[in-house]
Amino acid sequence: MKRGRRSSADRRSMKTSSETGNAIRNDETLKYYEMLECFSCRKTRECYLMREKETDRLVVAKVFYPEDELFLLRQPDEIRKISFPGVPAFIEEIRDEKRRIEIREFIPGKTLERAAAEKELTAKEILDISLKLCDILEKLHDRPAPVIHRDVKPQNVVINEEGEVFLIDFDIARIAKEEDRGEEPSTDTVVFGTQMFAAPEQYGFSRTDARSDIYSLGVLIRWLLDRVTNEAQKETKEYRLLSAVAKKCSELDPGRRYQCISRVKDALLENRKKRITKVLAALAVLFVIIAAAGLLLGKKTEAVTFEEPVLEEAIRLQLGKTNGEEIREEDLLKVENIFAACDRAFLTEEEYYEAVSVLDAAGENEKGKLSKLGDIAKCRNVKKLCLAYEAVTDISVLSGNTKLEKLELKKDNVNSIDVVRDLPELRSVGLCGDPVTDISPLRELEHLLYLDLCGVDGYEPSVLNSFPHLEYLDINNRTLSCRYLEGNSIRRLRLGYINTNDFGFLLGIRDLETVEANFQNAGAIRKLGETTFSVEYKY
Amino acid sequence: MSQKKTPHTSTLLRRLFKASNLDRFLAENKEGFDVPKFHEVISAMCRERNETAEAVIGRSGIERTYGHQLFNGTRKPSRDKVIQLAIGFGMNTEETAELLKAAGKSPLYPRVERDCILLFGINKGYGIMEIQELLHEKGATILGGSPKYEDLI
Repeated sequence: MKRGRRSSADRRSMKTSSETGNAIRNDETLKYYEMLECFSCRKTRECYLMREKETDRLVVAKVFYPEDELFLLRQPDEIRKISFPGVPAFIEEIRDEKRRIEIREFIPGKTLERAAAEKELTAKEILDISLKLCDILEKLHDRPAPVIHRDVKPQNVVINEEGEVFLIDFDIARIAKEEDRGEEPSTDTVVFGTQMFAAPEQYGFSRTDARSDIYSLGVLIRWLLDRVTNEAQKETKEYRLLSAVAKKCSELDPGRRYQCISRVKDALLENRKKRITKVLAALAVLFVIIAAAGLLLGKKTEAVTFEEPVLEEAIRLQLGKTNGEEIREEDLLKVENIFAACDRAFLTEEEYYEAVSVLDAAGENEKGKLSKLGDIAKCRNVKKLCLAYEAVTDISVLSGNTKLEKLELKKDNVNSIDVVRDLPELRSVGLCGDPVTDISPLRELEHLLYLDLCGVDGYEPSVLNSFPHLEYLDINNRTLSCRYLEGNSIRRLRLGYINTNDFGFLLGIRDLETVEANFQNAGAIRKLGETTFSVEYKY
Repeated sequence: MSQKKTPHTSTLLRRLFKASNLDRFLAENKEGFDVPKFHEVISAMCRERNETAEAVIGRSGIERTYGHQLFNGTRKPSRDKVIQLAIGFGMNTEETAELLKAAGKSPLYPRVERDCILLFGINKGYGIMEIQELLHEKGATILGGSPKYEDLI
C-alpha cells in the first residue's frame, strides 16, 4: 500500500467497535470508503459496492462473517498479486475476529449470465468470449505459481460495453503445486465451487489442477450453446466447433480433457479453419496434376528445361507462354517477378497475396513441394521473388540474382539467409515463419525498408539494436525483440502476440506512426497515456 | 406503450394456476413475459398519476434534457437517477423499491448508511433539495454526486 497511514499492519492492530455487532456501517476500518449499495446479502456473507472517497474509484467489498466457510481463508499472495486486464485487482483485506473484508477493483459490466439472458448470443460471439476466457485462464495457469480459479461460471464472467471479458471472484482460487499432478486424492480438498460447473475432482475425488478450470470452461461453453435457439446458428461451423471443444473440455476423467488451456485455444482457433484447408488441399493436388501434365508436354521442346514445375508455371505466366511453347535462355532475362505459394503459381502480386491470405487463414503449415531454386538463378533480372508455403530450405543459389528488390520466403524452411549479403538492392525481406537463426546479414542491406520477422522465433534479438531506418517491421514472434528497439527509427510496427506486458519501449522508438497490436494488450498499451503514434488493435 | 396492456404479475399468476394446459397458457400469455422497458414504466406511471414528465423531472433535480432522454429511452439511468425520479414522483419507500426493481437496480438497503439516509428522507416525504442536504450533512455523496457511480447504467 502506497499510503503509509493505511498499511496492513495498521489494520491488524486496529481495534473494532464491538457495539456494532455484525453491521459494518460506521466502521472505523472502512472510513476511507463510502458504501454505495448492497449487491448481495446472505446470512454469513455480504457483498457491497463502495467508493474510495479520495479517488471516487469504485470497489467491491466482500464481507465474510465467522460462520462463513471462507471466514478463515487466507489467500496466498500469489493469488492476491494477480493483476492484468481481465481480472479485478486485489486492493486490500481487513480482518479481525468478527469478519474478514476483501476489497477488490470493481469491474463495470454485465455478468455473462445476464448478457445471455438479455440477448441471444451468436455462435461467433460465443467463440469470441470463449477465446477471451482462454486468454485469461492461460495467464492464470501459466504463472510460476499457477492459479486455479475453480469457480468459472456465467455469473463470474463480466462483459463490459466494449466487449472486453473479465473473470471475477477469486474466493476459492488456489495455487496448483508441482506434486498435484500425482493421482493421490487429497484429504484437505474442501468441496467448493458451483454445482454443474465444478469439475468432478472438486468433489474430492482427486486434487484440482488447471484441468478443473478447463472442465468448467467446457460446461460454460455448453451452457452458452444450449441457450442458442436460432436453428441457422446451430448449423454454423463455429457452433459445431464449440460443441466439440466443450465436450472434450468437460470429460469426466481429467486425463481425457485438453491438458492445458493453450490446447483449448489452439482447438478453438485452428479447427475453425480446417474446412478451408481441406478445400485448399484438394486445389493444391489439382494444380500439381496440371503442373505435372505441363512438364510432360514441356519435355517436347528443345529449349530451356525446368527442375521445378511450379517455377516453370510461374515463369510461363510472366512470359505469357502456354504449356508446350518453347522458352529460350534469353526469354528468362525478361522475367521480373516470380510468385508461387503452396505449389501454385501466380501472375500478379495481388493474386499471390490473396492466395497467401487464404493459406494463412487455414493456419496449418501444409507446404508445397518446391525446394530447388536453380530455375530462378537463370532469371537474372528478377526483382520480386515471393515463394510462400513451399519446401525451400537452401536459397544460396540466388547469389547471382543481384537485381532482387523483394524477397519473400513466407512459411518455407529456410534457415540461413547469408546470401542476402550478395543482394544489395533488397528493399523488402519477408521471413515469416522460417527457422532463420541468424538475421545479422540484414544489417548490411543499405536499402532495406520492409522487414517481416513474424513467427521467426529463433534469432538473436539484439541484432535489432540500432538497426537502420525501417518503414515496416513485424516482430510478432517469441523473441524479446521489443527490448532492442529503443532509439531505432520505425514508421509502422506490428507486435501481434508479443511476449511482454510493458509497452514502455514504444515510447523510445523514433518516427513511429502506427502500431499494430493484439486486442489483449489494449489495456497495457493504454496505460502509456497519450502517444504520438496511433494503435490499431487486431486479433 | 401499446394499447394492449401488459398484465400484472398477480393477474398472470392467477391465470397460470387456473390453466389446465401449460403450453396453451405460455402461448396465450406471451406478452406477459416481456419485461417492460424502464422508460415505458416511467411514462406509464406519469399517465397513471396524471403527471407530466416535465413536472416529474423538475421535482427530481435531474437536468431537463437528461431527464427527457430518460423518459424517451435514449439514455439509461444510473441507480441514483432512478432514486431521484422516485423522489420526483413523490413515491413512498415501497414504490421506490418497485421502481428500482423495474430498472434492475439494487434496492435501498438499511445496512448501507447512505441508503439509510435516503430511506429516511423518502419515508418523511422530503423533496429532492431536503434529501440532498441531508446526505451532505451526514457526509454522504449526494445523489448524482459521484461521476464513476453515475457511469454505471
